[in-house]
Amino acid sequence: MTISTTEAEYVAVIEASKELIWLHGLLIELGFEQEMNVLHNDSQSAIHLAKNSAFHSRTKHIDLRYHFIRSLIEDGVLKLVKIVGSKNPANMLTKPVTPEKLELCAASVGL
Amino acid sequence: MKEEMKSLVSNQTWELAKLPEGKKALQNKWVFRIKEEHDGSRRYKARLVVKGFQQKEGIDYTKIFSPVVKLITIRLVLSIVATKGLYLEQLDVKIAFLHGDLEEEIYMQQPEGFAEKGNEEMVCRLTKSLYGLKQAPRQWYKKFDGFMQRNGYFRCNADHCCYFKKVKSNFIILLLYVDDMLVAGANLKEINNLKKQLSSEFEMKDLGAAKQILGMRISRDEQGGTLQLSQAEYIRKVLQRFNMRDAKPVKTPLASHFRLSKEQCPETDEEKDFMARVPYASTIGSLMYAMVCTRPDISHAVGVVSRYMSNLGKQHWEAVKWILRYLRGTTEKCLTFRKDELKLEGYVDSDFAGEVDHRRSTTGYVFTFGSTTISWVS
Repeated sequence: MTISTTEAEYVAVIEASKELIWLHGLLIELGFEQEMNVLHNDSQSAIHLAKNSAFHSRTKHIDLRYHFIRSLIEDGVLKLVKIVGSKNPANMLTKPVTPEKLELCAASVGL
Repeated sequence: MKEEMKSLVSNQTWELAKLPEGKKALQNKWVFRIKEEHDGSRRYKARLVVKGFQQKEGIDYTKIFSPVVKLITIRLVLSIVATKGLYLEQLDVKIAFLHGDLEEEIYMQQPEGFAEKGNEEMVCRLTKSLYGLKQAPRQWYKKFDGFMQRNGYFRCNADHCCYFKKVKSNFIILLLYVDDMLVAGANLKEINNLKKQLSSEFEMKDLGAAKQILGMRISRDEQGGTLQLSQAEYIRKVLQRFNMRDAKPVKTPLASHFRLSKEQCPETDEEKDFMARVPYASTIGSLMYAMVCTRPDISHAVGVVSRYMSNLGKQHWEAVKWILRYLRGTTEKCLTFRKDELKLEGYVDSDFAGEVDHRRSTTGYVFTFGSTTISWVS
């Protein structure tokens, strides 16, 4: 269980990067190697946390194993990029959204 | 029935033998099915199955795991197909499970109505695997895998049912879903070559351009270069099954007035009794299938209602019906793959402590490849 918004976002980033590693591997095998994979995220603090290894007193409870994301960034496998919340299609996966927002999210992922 | 018997005999599935002492012969039965094809026509099928539940582990079978292709891999390949304008062909293996060789010594009674005259007391010693046997899918996969590797195909480590081969400047991808396969490639000659190789080893049925996989309809617009993956038919069937065909459509899968929590779980026996008659689990099961195949838009709502599977109240059931009403209004929604830059992009979001009961957070992400989603989790 997470106890802060930043941590929740950070856990989401980790889950997504596990999937990304798998997709990345499959694409290499099929001859579609990707240069730098972009992971869009609307939490600036989670991005800071991932990039900056200086421990912050408020985030020291976050499990060490979660910091493997830092090595992925250092290795150039993945890049975290900020996206404004109103344009993030992943919003429809985590909370109830308005019909207009749903339409926007769905359309931006080809649905 | 006769056709099935013929293929069983021609395949040398078994030989007649006396049952050795201490061995048991498995029973079998005939299963009849009507299969609906993508064009609406009907096919009648008869199949001999053996009662695999009578098998004992360690005696009649040891390992039974068999992989199937991941939905993500299917969508990823479809995205490549649309972007590169590849051919996408579909093949189906007749009586796939009968192709597997059997390693164990298994006896079966003679099939009903086809016992050999004069030898009625004999039993069949199986040499090939048969539908219903616990190891049948595994033996089939092993056989197929061996064949593909012998023919120079590379089995992807990321998905063991995805095969890849480079042919000059082109490539061929084959996806296997038990006995259904999709073949994608730029060169029709190479694809036909593979088809020929497959037919020489297995009894194959060439279905031509792919039209349907796992109940999802594949339709292509060659001029516009788009490929659509639709579950409209499946959703219509689900709506009909749960009597929601004429329900009033709504615009969102989960309305904000449902603040679902454990407190809405029934407390009196009377309430519980009423809810026990509601087909909650099977409805959610159907919704989940749509969700994992082509509908990321309902995944959050389905995730929320499935938390209460074990003890649901009226409010929860109302929320499930709401999702069905949403689908009623959006039955035709489908995934569209376009010609686009093949770039992998991910989007992440989380909802901190959104769940009322345990203040747990929800994680969600979606990946697009060529601008269309291929993977999502809520």
